[in-house]
Amino acid sequence: MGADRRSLIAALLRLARQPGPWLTVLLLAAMFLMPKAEPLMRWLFPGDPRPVYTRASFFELTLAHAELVAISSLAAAAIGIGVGIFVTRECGREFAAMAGAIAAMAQTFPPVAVLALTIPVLGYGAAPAIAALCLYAIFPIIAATVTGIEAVPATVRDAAMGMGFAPRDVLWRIELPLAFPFILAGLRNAVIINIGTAAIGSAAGALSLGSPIIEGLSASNPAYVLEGASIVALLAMAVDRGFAWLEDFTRPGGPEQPG
Amino acid sequence: MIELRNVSKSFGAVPAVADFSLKIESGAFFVLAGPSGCGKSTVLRMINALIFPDKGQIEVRGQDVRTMEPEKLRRGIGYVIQSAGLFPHWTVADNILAVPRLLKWSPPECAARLDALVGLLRVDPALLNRYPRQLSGGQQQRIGVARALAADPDIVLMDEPFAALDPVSRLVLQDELRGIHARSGKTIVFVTHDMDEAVRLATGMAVMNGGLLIQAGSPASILLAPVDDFVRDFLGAESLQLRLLDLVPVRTLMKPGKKGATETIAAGASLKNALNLMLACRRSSLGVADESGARLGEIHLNDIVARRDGG
Ligand SMILES: Nc1ncnc2c1ncn2[C@@H]1O[C@H](COP(=O)(O)OP(=O)(O)OP(=O)(O)O)[C@@H](O)[C@H]1O
Ligand SMILES: [Mg+2]
Repeated sequence: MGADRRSLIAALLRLARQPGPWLTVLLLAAMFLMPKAEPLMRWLFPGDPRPVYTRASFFELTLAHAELVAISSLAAAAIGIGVGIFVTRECGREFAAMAGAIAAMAQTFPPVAVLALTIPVLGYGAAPAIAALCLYAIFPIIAATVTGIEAVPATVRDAAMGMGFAPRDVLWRIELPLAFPFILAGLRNAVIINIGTAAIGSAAGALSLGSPIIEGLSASNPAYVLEGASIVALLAMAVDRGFAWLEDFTRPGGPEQPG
Repeated sequence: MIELRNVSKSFGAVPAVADFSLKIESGAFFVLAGPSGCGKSTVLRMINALIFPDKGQIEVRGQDVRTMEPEKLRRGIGYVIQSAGLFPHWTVADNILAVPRLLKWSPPECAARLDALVGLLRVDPALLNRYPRQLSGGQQQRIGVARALAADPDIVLMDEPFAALDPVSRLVLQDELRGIHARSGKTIVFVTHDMDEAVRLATGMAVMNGGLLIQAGSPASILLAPVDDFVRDFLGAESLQLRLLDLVPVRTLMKPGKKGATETIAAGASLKNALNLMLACRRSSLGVADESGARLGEIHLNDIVARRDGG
């Protein structure tokens, strides 16, 4: 019993030394306890009659924000990984340069401009935001997929083919597993960028953590901006730690042993 | 078993193999030798249809490789590549069992085969659950050989499989491979640019240069009668006679005799080994013993020196 308790305490201590759990706790606190922070906001922004955003709960906003990011990132992953695989096949090699150029162009297109252009087609709400975010995330994912597949040593591919792996087996059993850490890193980049960018979705009428930010900007209420932005930042950092853990966990042979 | 007829292959403007014809008999231990870049790997990769020739024909087991399904052909041919090429994300055991699993062997069959290979190639069982990056270069090559033999193919292509080994492990693995070949009757096509290795292993060999076949035949016939200066230099003319001694077992020059000669050598050792031992212990004769150590006779320096080749 005593040993059990001691190992439990040791595990908790180990957990407490990681930034991930702390960030998660902070994020949850910010989401649920923001209304309780009214005195703090009053002190920070004296003279503001209603210093805490109440139009929607922060939990609801975070959920909507996460949904925008998740849907757009999943779509971008499907497209990006698919294109990455295609341009590294024998038959798709000639499209590699073109796909890279198009994706890079999409990346440099300002997201606000994408919103402005898609709203007439998709209407107000979440759809144009998801489209813009998706377009934004495709490039890093294609780049990561291509880098990962091209990093597979030629000798390994050669050995697999020479032993009689079909092209499909080479892709699924050799190339993708070996490229996975790269793809995961690309996905991590895309998702983190999207968490920040998703706030502008509220400019198209989508509910997100950008809603208090945009309202705060238009009504000169910096407290709202601070509230929205701090949760966006915490969400980004917590998700980033989650990816770091996933990268560690999926390494062949399990997490790297320290030392 | 394997036949190449007037095969040519260029990469862009660079001809890698030109008008190459070769017949490798079933059960041969065939060594392809030649300097770097002469097209040895290309010949090997055409045999398992990783590359198709621009011109000419290749037959494996009497069938044109172009008419065969490449995956099926390759699963029936063991292949050891130049740098082991183990799958970094698979354990050693999974690497070894790659082809049996492609062939859908059952788990008990795989496990039994793994056991057998570990014994055959003296793989340290502790390595089986490691990943390739946790192995030395030599260990990786040993696993590469095990992987090629895993599904017990009757043809094995080996591209400089022992290049990363120290001389001692190299000799050990050469012996093991020779034993496996002798016991199984597999056809082995073995690429090397180490002449000592070639002579030690080959039952037949071909010397290539610049994509051309320069000379083919038994190691002894090539050593005794190199067709040109290139072959002579490649074989290392200065130690040609020593290499020839490497081909001949002690037993052929053994004479009956029980007197003297405290040092003994195995009847199956080469004359080169015998000469080396004579130099080492400063004697002009040695006792000859069989595997159990029982004395069979003796061998004399004079007989080695006076020996005429071609016999
Ligand atoms: N995929 C390829 N693309 C272009 N050129 C190639 C390719 N493979 C081989 N070559 C060229 O063909 C020639 C023969 O190459 P090969 O690999 O067969 O030589 P090798 O005898 O195996 O040499 P080594 O002993 O160095 O392994 C070389 O000039 C090489 O540069
Ligand atoms: Mg080669």
